[in-house]
Amino acid sequence: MSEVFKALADPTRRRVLQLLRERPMTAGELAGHFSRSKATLSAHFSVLREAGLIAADKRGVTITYSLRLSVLEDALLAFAETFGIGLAGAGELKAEKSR
Amino acid sequence: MNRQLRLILSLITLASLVAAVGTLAWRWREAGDIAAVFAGPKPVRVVLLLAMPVVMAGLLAFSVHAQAGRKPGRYEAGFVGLTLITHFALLAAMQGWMILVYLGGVLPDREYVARLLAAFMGLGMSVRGNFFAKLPPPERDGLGGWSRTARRSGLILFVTGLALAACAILLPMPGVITALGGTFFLVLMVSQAQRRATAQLKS
Repeated sequence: MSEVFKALADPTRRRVLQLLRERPMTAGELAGHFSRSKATLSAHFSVLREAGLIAADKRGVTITYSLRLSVLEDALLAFAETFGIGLAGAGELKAEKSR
Repeated sequence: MNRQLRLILSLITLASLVAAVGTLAWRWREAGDIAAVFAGPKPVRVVLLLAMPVVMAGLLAFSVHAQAGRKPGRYEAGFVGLTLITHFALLAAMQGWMILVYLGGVLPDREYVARLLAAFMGLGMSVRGNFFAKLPPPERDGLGGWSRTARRSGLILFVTGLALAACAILLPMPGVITALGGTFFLVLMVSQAQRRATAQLKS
């Protein structure tokens, strides 16, 4: 459970989950929404995957991520979003969202 | 199926078999005559008593030998395990009731049992609804339609389960029966929606 809290505490990871809510996306598609390095994003994906919040489907060199949120995890995500938990890098994320 | 789950289900099945055979032996010992075991207005009860462990053993054998197309995820295994344990526990509870009826024992208050079962069903449904969206799609879900339906279905099951449990505790008996009917209808709707999403995914 602590893995889930840790994963949801970061705004970038929460943004990844919000993006995956629309449809499954490849790592490249997801990276297009952020101005961070691929290595940093890969670390974020890894945290989300270990917490069981996303699933990765590897086909050749392409990894497609899809959402695997339980109802309570979804509620936790909404709670963290509403109260802005872990918004240290919020300004940067805002700029990324507006891109 | 992991060892722990197999052990739990085997123990419930064994307990059911011991309870059925023990009940019949008790009646035989009391009457001193094998014919007394089948005597009474409803001899079918003897068959039903013995049928419970047979049904459980059949379910267990079926589950043990079920072949998954791929390695199940950790949530998938937990989901199936929880469902099996819930169903086995319900079968055991039904058998317990039948034993009390057969032996002419003091039956617990019917309303109390009905409320308890409805609350148990509601909580079970809620837990399973919570994990429903964790299940992987049966095929590659490129557009995410199946997953979206699963998330919606999970939420409906979760909320309905909690509402059913609350109704079982708070409402008068006719309200509980209405809530059970409503829940059954919603579960049918959710199953239909999921079935359609799966068909779309496979087409």
